[in-house]
Amino acid sequence: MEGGTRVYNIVLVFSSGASVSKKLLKDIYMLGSKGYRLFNIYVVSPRGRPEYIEFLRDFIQNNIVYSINIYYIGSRPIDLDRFVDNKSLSNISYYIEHGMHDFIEVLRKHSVDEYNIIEG
Amino acid sequence: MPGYEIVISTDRTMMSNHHGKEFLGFLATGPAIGLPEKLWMWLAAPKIKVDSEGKPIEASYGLRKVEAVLVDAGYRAAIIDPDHLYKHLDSMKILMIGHHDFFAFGPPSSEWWMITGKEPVNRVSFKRFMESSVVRKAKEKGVKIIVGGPAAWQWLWELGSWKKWGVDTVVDGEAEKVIVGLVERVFRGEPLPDYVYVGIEDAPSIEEIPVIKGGSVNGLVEIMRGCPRGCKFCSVTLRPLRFIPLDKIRAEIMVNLKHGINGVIFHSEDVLLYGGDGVKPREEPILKLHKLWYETTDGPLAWAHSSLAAIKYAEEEYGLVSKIMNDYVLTRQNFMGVEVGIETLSPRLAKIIMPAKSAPYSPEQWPSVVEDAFSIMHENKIIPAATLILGLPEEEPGDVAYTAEMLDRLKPYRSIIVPMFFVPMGLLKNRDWFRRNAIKPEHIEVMKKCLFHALYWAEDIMNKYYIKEPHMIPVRLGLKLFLRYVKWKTKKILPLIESQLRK
Repeated sequence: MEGGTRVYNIVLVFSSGASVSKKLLKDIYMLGSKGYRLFNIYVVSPRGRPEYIEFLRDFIQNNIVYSINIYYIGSRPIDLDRFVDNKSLSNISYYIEHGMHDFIEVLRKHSVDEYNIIEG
Repeated sequence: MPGYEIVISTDRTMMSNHHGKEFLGFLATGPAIGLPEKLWMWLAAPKIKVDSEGKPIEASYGLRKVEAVLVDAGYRAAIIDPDHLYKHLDSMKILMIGHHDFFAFGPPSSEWWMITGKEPVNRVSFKRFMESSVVRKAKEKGVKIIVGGPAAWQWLWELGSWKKWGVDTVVDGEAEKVIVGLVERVFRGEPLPDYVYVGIEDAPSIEEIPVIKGGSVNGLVEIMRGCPRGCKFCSVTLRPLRFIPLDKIRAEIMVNLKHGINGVIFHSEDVLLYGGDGVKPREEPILKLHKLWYETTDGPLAWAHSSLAAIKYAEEEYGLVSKIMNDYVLTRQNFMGVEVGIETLSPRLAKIIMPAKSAPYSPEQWPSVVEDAFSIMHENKIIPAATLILGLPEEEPGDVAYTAEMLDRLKPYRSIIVPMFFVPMGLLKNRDWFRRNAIKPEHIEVMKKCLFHALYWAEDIMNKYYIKEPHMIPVRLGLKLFLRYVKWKTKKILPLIESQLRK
């Protein structure tokens, strides 16, 4: 479920979640046009599991074409740290909600300098 | 006897053969009306025969497909009746639960709920199942709970229940190609995804769809998946179109026969499009399909769904409906049931929301397509349970008023017409629900006409065709009681309902 050239991985960090669905939907259609068909989405959110799903509901409901697996990693910077440490994924993008500085620090620690900021 | 490591189950409303009359299963979509809940449940969903391990003789077809995939992959997996789950508590590692309508958000449950203000029994029963001591014990032991089926989307709106019951994964879409991967994850001790959506390209091919291993409810066998009509409110149309080959259909009928089920329900969104040329039925594959049923079993036949346009086209081009009914079906039974979708009788709305529903006829011809098809079915003793959708996103008052007016033209034809409130699914799954405060007088007019139509024809259908078997006398009495109650109640409170709904 995680391998293959048509698979794209997204790490998503959010708290308020207001714009998450909109941004994600726009970007997976863009990635879809490049041939990606399965999106693994790894969520870090203090909203908790499965409450965070509420903020992805529009995204899930509006997607028809692509396969999606949504995983919950945890709620804290340490959870993101462990995830980045343990997973070596290619075809990956990071999305972090505006103002979540502790999580940005984690990415910088792992030399991840390219990430997308989502407006809160 | 070692139990099963993967147990597939569901609540009583789904684990039943509905007295061999699948239409009675629809009673489970409403609350108990005029009867005690226990009696209502018995009418809608009586207990099913099971073997010593609690495996039901008949089970929901979707559950059977999941079971077949897992058994073919080498797992000890079986469908177990909810009353017998305790027999597998020690061995169970994964509990898979499927449903057509977990929380009664689907049509027509949501409508009965909205109108009566009472929770439908399917919702009550499912909650009872999830909160049963055996399911709770399984969860406490660390059993992974994976839920899925056509109502998977409903969990997105029930996050509290998701958390409370400890559901691990929700699978939305055709599961054949993903379910083994999830099971492997469990056995490898890897984290499961919370939500899995199976996209169009991950839908299984014909070769990847397995033959069921046990009996299906009332002999239901799938003859095709997907639908070419592209109606915006329907989720089935999102799937690629696949015709199941005759040898596979025969194999599934044989499985049912082996388990003592001699009836057959051809399942498809549009039975007459089996082997068809786009939206045009072809004579040869349809005749071969019915000949296959006729020669393989001596039991009765029903169609799950057919489109009205296909019925009209098939009859006018080839006399195909009459041929099937006279040469095959009516030599063995005195009627055949089918579900059909009218959805609206307004050509304007049909053009926007379901432009190909009337094809090969134009959307402007839709009302006459419906009437012609109803006439053909009436002549050939096919009894349709038809649906109408109220509150479609682009609906205008004129569309509903026109539908109400045109319903009069369907009066002479033996049928049940059920108005349903719009539920966001298919291409419209991001749109808003039709809510109680959006009900207008013209909607009430449609509902009233459908109710009077149903009450008139239900009496006729029960007297001449349905539930005539001697062993069904108690069910017949229960239904008669219900009909009498509805008539009495309708007369008494219709003015009150009208005023309440307008509030």
